[in-house]
Amino acid sequence: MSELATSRSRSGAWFSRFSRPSRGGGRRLPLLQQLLLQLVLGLVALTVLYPVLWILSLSFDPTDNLRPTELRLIPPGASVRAYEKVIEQPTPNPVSFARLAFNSLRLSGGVALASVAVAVTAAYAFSRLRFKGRQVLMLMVLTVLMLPSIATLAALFVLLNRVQIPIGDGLFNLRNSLWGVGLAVLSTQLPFAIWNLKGYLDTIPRELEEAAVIDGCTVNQAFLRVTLPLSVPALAVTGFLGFMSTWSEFAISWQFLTNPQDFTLTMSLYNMVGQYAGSVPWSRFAAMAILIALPVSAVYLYLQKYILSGLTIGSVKG
Amino acid sequence: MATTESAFQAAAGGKRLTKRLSPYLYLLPALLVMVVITFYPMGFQAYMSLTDYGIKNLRFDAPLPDFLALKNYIRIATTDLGLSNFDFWKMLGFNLWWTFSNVIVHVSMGIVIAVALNTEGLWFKRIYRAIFIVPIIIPQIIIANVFRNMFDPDYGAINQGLTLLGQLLRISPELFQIRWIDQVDFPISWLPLTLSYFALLITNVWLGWPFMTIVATGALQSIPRELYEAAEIDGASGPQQFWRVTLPLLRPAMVPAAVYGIVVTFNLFTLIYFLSGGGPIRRTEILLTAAFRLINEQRLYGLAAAFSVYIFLILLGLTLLTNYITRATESYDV
Amino acid sequence: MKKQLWIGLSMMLLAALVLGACGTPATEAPAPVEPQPAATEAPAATEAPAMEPVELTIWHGYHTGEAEEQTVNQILEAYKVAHPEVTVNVLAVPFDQLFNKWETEVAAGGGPDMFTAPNDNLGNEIRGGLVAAIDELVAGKLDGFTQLGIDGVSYEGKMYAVPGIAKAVGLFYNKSTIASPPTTTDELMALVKEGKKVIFRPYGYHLFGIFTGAFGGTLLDETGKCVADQGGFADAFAYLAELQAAGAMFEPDEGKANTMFMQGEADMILTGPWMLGTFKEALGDNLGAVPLPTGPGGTATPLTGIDGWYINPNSTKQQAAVDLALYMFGPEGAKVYSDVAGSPMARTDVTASDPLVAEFAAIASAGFPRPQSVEFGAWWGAFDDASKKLLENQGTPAELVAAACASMNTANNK
Repeated sequence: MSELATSRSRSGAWFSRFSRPSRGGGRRLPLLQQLLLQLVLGLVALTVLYPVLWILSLSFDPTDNLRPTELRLIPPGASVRAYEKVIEQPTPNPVSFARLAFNSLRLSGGVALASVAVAVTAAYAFSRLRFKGRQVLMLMVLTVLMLPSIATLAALFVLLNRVQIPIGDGLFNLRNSLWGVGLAVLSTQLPFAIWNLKGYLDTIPRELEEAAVIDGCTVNQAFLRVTLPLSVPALAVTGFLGFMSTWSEFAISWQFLTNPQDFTLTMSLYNMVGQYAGSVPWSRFAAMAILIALPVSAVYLYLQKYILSGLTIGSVKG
Repeated sequence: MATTESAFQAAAGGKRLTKRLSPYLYLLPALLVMVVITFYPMGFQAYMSLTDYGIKNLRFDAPLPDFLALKNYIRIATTDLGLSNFDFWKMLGFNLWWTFSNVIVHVSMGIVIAVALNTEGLWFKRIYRAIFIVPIIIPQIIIANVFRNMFDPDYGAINQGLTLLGQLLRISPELFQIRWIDQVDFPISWLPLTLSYFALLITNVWLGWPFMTIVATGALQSIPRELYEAAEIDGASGPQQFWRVTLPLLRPAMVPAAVYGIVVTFNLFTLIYFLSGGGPIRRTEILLTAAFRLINEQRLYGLAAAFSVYIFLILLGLTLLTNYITRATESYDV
Repeated sequence: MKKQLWIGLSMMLLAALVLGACGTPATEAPAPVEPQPAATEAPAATEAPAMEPVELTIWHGYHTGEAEEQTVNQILEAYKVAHPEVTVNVLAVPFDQLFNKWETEVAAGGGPDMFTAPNDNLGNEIRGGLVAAIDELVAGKLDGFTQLGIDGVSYEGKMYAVPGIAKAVGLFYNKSTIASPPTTTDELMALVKEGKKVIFRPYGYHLFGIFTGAFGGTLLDETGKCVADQGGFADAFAYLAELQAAGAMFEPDEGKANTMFMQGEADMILTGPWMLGTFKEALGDNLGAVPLPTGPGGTATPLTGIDGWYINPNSTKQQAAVDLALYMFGPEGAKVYSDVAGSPMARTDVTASDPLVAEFAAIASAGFPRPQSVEFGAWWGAFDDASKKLLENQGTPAELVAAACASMNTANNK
């Protein structure tokens, strides 16, 4: 009887180490469990990293080889020629790599900023203020989340094409510009931003704002001075997610843009793998892929602290 | 509490007109933008779905399309489109199965790995956390093409890796010439799922679990330790603590994440379009790729719009259902 | 610290946006369709050198880095020398987006001045008013174009493009491993059984010649109804299934198929002259080509498509565009296409220096001109599907053909 109890409690204690969250500065893990966990997590890390290493190795391969016959991570004759080729001529269109990167950056940055700036006030209203039609409007915002942007492509095309402003002796067509693409992407980013920010704002205790109001602030001042600074992690997350989706966008861009000087990095990636691509130049594709993924990783690392705290804290209350 | 709350609402609402308008002022920028670029196209879409809008109607001086009322919807639902291999109900079924199988695997893996990562005294925690972020920050179009390369039957990394493993276990290499993407016959005869579904599943799981892990980690770290200690004092064993304490407290965080996962997976266009292209003879086609094909290849805007409305209605139904179920089974009281 | 971070970030992004906005109007000024003085459309402009600067925008869907793309650039350089007042902006669009983009742009009132593409969608584009009829603009300048070419870009008596390349699929083979290439379906079967590797593509486009000519099938009757199930097609299907069982490969991925042939893993491949330049680079003198094998029903009749330069009905510079097109597919331009890209041209005055190109030109002449009727459009989905299913053993030949035909007829309401 006592043996049973001790054995149960021993295995219980053994397992309870997993289910209990760590608090830091706590107990040390017995070696066997440590090694076991390391093995499992190590395997998982390997599966995560493997495709990335694969892309890296493809990008260093000097031949545009679809058919590497061995699983080799550093191919024979590794060189950075693919990177050079991609930077020198990323697409058959007359546009430089720097210009493509610049376009991608300002499109993504612009949409990220705009979605956060426009959404935060609306999210605050939904979260804090009581007004007629709140439920209905919130539902409307949510439902838009479920309509994929590809579906509204034709309507947006027609709509944005109507805005044609003569500037100087040229004609500025809203649709055929990065502004138009940005607006089209914003149309799906905005509902998500509102929903995400509202969820986060819901977790900030109202008492703080109420205290500010008692101290004599108006609602607006309470919003700007109290809530906004506290919601920086959520703003970072939402901005980052907006940045990421726009960075990977190509369908809307290819549909709307015709001037090569407006093209983005991801568009030229698509150029290499379009459905009827005769033969995908794998080395160049891989080099381009790495170059495209790098800035996003950089932005992430820069904002990492805020993003992680924003994703985790905000989601607890849903 | 009540007095500060009412003071706040008084400041926000209140008698003066400007104060009463204040909530609407907050909403104004977002609403303005959304009405123009979100709601109007949606409305236009709904209109298009009731007509036979096609390429001949795109010119702004073109004749208006014929009004078809619900004919597009009926044609889709009864599979009367003349598109080969197109069966709306099978496609819908696949789409739903695809969504749920993915989300279930993502959430489970996410929770398990989050729990594992969270154990006290684990070495290299920061390194793992940094690595596990990678699938989120690489654009999907890249992943889809790279994995497509990896699933190549003759030279792909997956088959080669399996062959290596097989050689270690003395299994002949011919068994591993698996035609992941092209094979039409079902690998398991009683399960109507092609190999390309499994290839897509593997890829999407690779893409999807880190997000769930992040959400779960956040939630895990906010579970107060006292609960576990109390449970242990009450005699709960490890597994019981997991089921009775951890999981229910993870639920409020995981449910919205799961709902978000459902919406995103249901419409997972880029991955499916580039990896399997809708699968061998449309067996991994989802509603969204079918709609995109209709636009890109045949310029049948009206039909594609009807598809989109179907997608919207189904997702709406799914979300409401999920919300209802989770709210009804909420029974924790912390 | 946080505040500074945010201020810094927003300043950076704001600066980027402002810089970008300042940068754009200048580069966006060359909008595709501008109101231009009508001077460039004066008929005399083509005789006397038109000194008014003209800007043309042209699109193509050629693959990145392949021979056809080089060709366009080379011809444009030569044109620039001859006509310095013409500036040409070239846009390379991914091929699967090409038709969609053209149609939406033109339909919305804009678009480039011209684009080059096969006559895949000509029928639909004509019916949508998305390509201009150019009979007046080319009057008297059509010397040297073959009738096949002109017919390929015409519909109901009117011409809609300047014709150029005549493309039809044939059988490439590696001379170092195949001593005598097959001329009949039986010879092909024998070679495959011997162990020679041949790559076919499991698509209706590539197999059309075998379905119709070699095995005598007919796809559509005069009313547009599918009559493929009345013989020919089923036998062709059975032959292909047998071929596969004997060891022929049917590879859906074009890149993979081409690479396999170029690296010597396959001895023969069924594809078209667009790969000629690339194959020649890889195999050199070992590259050979023959028409598709003759079968019990007669000679193979692959689909012959004509690539042309189509003109935008919205363009205000149609004459200039047509002149450029006539140069690109005229004697000088066609020679470059033929030599650099190995394209078989639909011209009587260009002799290909490479016998392989001449071979493909002959293949195209003997092929079946691609129909532009609405009914034909439904054949693709139905028969691609049937081919795929055949090769995956999802039905007997007769069943599959009957099902495909039925599906075509449903789509066409016949």
